[in-house]
Amino acid sequence: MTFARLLYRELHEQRPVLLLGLVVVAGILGGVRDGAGSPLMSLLAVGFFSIVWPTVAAISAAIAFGHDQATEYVRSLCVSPRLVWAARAAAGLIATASLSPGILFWRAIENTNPDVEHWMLSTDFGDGHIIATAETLALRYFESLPLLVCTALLTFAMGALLSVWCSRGTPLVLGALLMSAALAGIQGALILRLGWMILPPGLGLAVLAQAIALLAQSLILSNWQPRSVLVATAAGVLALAMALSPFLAWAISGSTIDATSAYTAVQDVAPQSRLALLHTYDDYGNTMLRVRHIDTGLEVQALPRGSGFGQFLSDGRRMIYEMFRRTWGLMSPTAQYRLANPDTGGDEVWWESPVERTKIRSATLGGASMASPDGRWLVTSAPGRIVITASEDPASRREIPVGMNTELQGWTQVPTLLYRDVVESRPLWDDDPFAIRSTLVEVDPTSGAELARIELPELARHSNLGPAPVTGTSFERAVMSRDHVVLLVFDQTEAAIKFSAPRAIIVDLVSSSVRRVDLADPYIWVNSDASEAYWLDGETGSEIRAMTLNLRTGSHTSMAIGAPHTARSSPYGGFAVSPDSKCFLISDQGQGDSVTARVHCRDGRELAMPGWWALRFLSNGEAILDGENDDGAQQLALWDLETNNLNVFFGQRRHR
Amino acid sequence: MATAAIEVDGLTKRYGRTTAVDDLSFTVPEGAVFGLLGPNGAGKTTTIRCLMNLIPPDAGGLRILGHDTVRDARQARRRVGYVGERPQYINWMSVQRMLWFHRGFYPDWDQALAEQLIERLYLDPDKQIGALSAGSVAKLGLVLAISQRPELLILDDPTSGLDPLVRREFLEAVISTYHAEGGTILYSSHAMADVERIADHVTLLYDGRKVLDDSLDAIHGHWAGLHAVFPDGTPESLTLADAVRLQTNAHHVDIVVDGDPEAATAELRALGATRVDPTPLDLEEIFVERVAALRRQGPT
Repeated sequence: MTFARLLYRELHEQRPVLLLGLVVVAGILGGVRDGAGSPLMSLLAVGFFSIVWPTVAAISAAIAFGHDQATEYVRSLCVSPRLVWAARAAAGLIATASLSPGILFWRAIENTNPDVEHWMLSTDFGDGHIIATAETLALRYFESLPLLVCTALLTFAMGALLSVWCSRGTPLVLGALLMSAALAGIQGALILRLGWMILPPGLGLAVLAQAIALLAQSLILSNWQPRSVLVATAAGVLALAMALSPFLAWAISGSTIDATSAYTAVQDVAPQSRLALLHTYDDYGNTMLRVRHIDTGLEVQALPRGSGFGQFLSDGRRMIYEMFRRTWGLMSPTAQYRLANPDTGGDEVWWESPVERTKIRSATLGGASMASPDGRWLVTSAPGRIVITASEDPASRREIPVGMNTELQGWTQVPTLLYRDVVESRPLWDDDPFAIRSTLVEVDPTSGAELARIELPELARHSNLGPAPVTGTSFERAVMSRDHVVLLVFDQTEAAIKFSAPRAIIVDLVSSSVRRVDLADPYIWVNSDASEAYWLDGETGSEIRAMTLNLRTGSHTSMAIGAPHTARSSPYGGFAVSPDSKCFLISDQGQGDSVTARVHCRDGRELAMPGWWALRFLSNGEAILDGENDDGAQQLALWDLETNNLNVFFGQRRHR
Repeated sequence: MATAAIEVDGLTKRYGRTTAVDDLSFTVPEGAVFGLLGPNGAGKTTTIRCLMNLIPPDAGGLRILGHDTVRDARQARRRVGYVGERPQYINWMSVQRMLWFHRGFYPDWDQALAEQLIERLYLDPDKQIGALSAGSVAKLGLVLAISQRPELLILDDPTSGLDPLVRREFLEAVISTYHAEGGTILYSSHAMADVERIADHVTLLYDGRKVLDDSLDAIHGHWAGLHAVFPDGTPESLTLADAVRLQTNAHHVDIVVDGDPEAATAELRALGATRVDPTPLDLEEIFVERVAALRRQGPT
């Protein structure tokens, strides 16, 4: 009881800190809910947590350890001095810790930022997805916990030392500042340990600012005495150096960027204009789009950092892309849809999304934003609504109320918009299977009128992607013809089996009939008129057969394509069928890292390009391959199957 | 012989090069009202802070109610009520909440007495301490100290700077509620008149050293002022054994005696004084005379 009284009193003494902590936590949580990451809020967060928080922690400790130097009353009580100190320490730690949830949440959010998709996944507040958000935050929380506990304890200890030093006049400044150096150093070490990719530029700045704040604190608390200033400055410089250590390590090694993040992917190709739209990352983890001429390799246009999803319009020249702006390394709350024209170098805002960034689902995960091939419409999906904007009148908006989980499937050749409303019975744990009921809806974008509504068979699905919303996985694909839609889905009932039991759901839009077809391989290809599906069958090393399934008649045909080591797709591309359905493109992975891109045609023609992964066919029959030069740099090349010529049109350093 | 409530033996405390208390020894008997007096800077507060173990002594032994104040600090504090100089309590608490906080540390706490004192001293239990006047804070300190039912009450000039009315209320409360029940009081003050009203034993400090230490009766017994009239003229070389100060005039002499005033009176009459009038000295005058005498003696 005595301790409780002392603790009560100490906590009350530190109520400004506690209140501040609560306010911050509330603010951060509110920010998460309402779309944290606005430049202002992010800057405030960076400023707060990098400068104010450690300062407050130190002051809190100073209050805890210092103020009773002058409060004779407490020391005169009939109580063990150790108990008084214990209460002070506990209160100081509690006060300091009261701010920690804020910083934990902030860093949890920050940690999701380097990758746009991560952020989207973790902040989709659709039906049931709040769980995903909590899971993601919890995950990031624990990732950051050691760092933050160290930060809190060391900052507190530093404040305590400084306050004791100030109150007693003992020259403990060196110890205090070594502590601040250790603080920065441990932070740096942990950041390195946890990996650069969880450290967005904003946090990097925060660490730097924190070190500067510690230096300032030290100087102020040293009362500017010459000797103290000298020692404080020396120790502060050490602290700064330690804080900068991750940057230095990164600068020296030059390759702390995650390999997959540095990978450049082909997002779209316009065969008629011979342009390729490449999706890449810069050295800071920002996504970028680059437009390259696939014959000359010349870079035609580089779109701003933050650009993500993009597609060529049907004219083969203009393109629409999505961009999240970044301010101080943090993303803007709204998405811009821009119209770029490589011919003119034009790049103008076409449409600015009024939908909060956190509520827009990632375009790369099932299509939450997409333009119609002719560029007449842009469609954005957000929980509860689909927004259709006509490019001729960007101010016009047509909103279609939908469920909380809606996937844009794409455009039929009419074109009409297809989307899928999904209702999940989400289990408590991700490892449990759960059911999806979904409805395919066809919409006339001009009028917004619903043309067809087709109930799809119930799908038992399992997500092994952790907190990812399961309705938007990349294992699902829709292929649309004028009157048919083929949805590729995968029933997964066991966590360990990722790609088992694929099936096609073929929807006849004219008759509204639905048919399910069991398939054999997840690397499946459906031709552009949705009439045939193709996959590879056979064990590694044995004869591999290319299987063809007529989706309308159900008849099978097969073609032997030899015995590649692994007749599977590359991790980056896939098994592909030529536009005329006569040739198959595969990546044949041999022993070790050796790989060969192979083409097998029905007419018996076979081509091989050792050292390259197969990516995709172009509509004129050329293929795009992915490889490395002798230095390990990533290359993208165009493979002319007529001449067997390879033309490298993109090459950059690859971090593997 | 009465048991000692406080024993200070050779206490020395230095702050850097300054010696605040120099080889101080005194004893406070149980049941006494003991005045620790001296001007500002004499070493009173330092002595009391050492007694309360708020600061460590550099040398000397201190015992409170038989407990070593350093080794048995908790046991000693449990039996002591203490009101510091310009007491600073917890400003954000109300008077009521302060009583709750304080009583948790003292098993013998008398809540009924606390409430009675609060009423008697006109303290508002719901008022925040930060909003109390200095006098009320001092009264609150007294309530806190007395209500824990201590065997010894140490008051370190708690009414310093307060108006006479408050000081009087304070002292009356001390005497009527605490000393009347046989408690021992160590009262430190530079307001000697206050102490003189209640003390039965005093120690005077000056410059960190004890310059006087006796019961008040004894002090008044051997300190006196005498006014002697010599109609035939003052003797030229007038000296008295116990005279601390002599101020001669043509036909009369003013003398301050520290020793035996009656013997001094007889001595004066023998020297031709026709009238010798005793003049009582108050404690402050005695203190001034004592310090002046020490200064005349020079550094020891």
